[in-house]
Amino acid sequence: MKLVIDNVSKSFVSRTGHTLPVLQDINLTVNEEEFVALVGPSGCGKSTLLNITAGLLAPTSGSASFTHLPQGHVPRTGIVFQETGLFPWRSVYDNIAFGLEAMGVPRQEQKDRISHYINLVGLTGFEKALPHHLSGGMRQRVGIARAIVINPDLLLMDEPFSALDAQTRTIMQEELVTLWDKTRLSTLYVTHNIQEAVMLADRVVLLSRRPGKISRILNIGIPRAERELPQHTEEIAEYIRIIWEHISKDARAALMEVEGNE
Amino acid sequence: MNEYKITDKMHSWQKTYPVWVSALSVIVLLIIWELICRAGIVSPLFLPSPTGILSALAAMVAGGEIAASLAASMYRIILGFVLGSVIGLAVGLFTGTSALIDRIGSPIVNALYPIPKIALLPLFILWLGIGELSKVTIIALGVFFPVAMNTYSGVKNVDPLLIKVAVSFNATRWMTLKKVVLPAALPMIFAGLRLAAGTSLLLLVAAEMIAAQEGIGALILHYGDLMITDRLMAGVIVLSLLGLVFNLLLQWAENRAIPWNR
Repeated sequence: MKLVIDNVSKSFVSRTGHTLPVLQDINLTVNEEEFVALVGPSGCGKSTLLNITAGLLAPTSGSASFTHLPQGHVPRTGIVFQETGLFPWRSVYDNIAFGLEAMGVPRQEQKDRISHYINLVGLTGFEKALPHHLSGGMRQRVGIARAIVINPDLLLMDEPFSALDAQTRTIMQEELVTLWDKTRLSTLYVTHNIQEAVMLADRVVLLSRRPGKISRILNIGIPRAERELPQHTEEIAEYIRIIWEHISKDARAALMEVEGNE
Repeated sequence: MNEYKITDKMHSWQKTYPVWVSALSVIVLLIIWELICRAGIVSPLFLPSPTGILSALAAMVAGGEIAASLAASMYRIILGFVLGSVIGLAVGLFTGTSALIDRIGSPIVNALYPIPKIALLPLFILWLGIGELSKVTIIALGVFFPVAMNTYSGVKNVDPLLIKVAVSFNATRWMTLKKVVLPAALPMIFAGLRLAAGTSLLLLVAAEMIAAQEGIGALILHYGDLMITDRLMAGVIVLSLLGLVFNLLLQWAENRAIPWNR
């Protein structure tokens, strides 16, 4: 399985009738069992690209497709949303069950799969809780479990930890590394946090802004599980420095913008 | 090699149509109505044709009948609306912000609120006479409750953080009320005003039908008694226009008063 984003461009028409190019000529492939992070300042269109990949938005030109699929297989995409998007009236268990219900998975099988993932993301004992009783970190665990329980061909994550405090965020990042090693799902991960991208991804794709274009792709050549180790501290810092140098000008420009469009 | 092109699954939820489609629906409805009347399927006594109503309206405007009725009605509704909303606003604001006034005032307001206001008209006629005062009072009363109730809950639901900010700067109670609580409650207050606009129109017509020589309500009742249906319908159209203008004015005022609420 491969995700192929082929020459995708997207522009929006503003209320005043101006055409606003958001993405321009994006070409990107996410390989089987690869973790790709999209990094860029606000307004670079990274969420737009993710939405196009998710099938929630049509590109103005170009296309996104899955290739190298097994014969007759209709690919599934699991999405983890920034603001979690949990249904407030559904318990943790029922929220996770939603995708399986949509797939028509039998009750008993649902139960087995859900309890496996509830265990995997650390939600055991919270099955009956409603989302508003949970902390932000726990809520996003539900969001992650809901996305991966359907065993997706592609996992899309849209700044999943950006609403969390710094400490929770660090913990969740570490947990995601462990979780990812267990599931090895092809992942496209959108973030504006450089450190997060470097800690998680096999490849970091840098987007410039207005219109969003791929300006650079970095391979992070350190095994994911070892990135926390002290012998790699300097190397990690170097990656972060390179990326920041690359996008800081754009980030400053984004700061001065009146109307953020992401 | 099997491929799957990603398509926009949100399309059917986000489809939009141009505004003229709405205009078209009204025009088509009017044409069907006209055709039914022209074909003689329904007697004009029960359902006059749109063109018939329009020419009746034109005749009534030319004869000065509409202007006289409209003037009488406008006087009552404007005076009643302004009086009711000003008092409602003040009562809502003070019951919402003072614990003591809340305790004293709330049970009284809650007890009187469910009474259909028109039931009090005979009493007001007894107290205030059959003239303008009883009609203005009944409209003011009908406007008072939704405005007071909405102002109250708007004030109660002001983000406590905003009040903390004001208090931290040692703002006086009056300043906090005027510069923080009131603006924060404005969206709710306008929702109350819009509710009240509908109520005021209803009470205006009801009061005029019960006890008035002049006014749109009296005019409609008069032509109903005479079974002059096209003139009756012309009166209804004037009412519909009056309601429309009323709503537009409120919408305009709302956009001016709360630009931050889009």
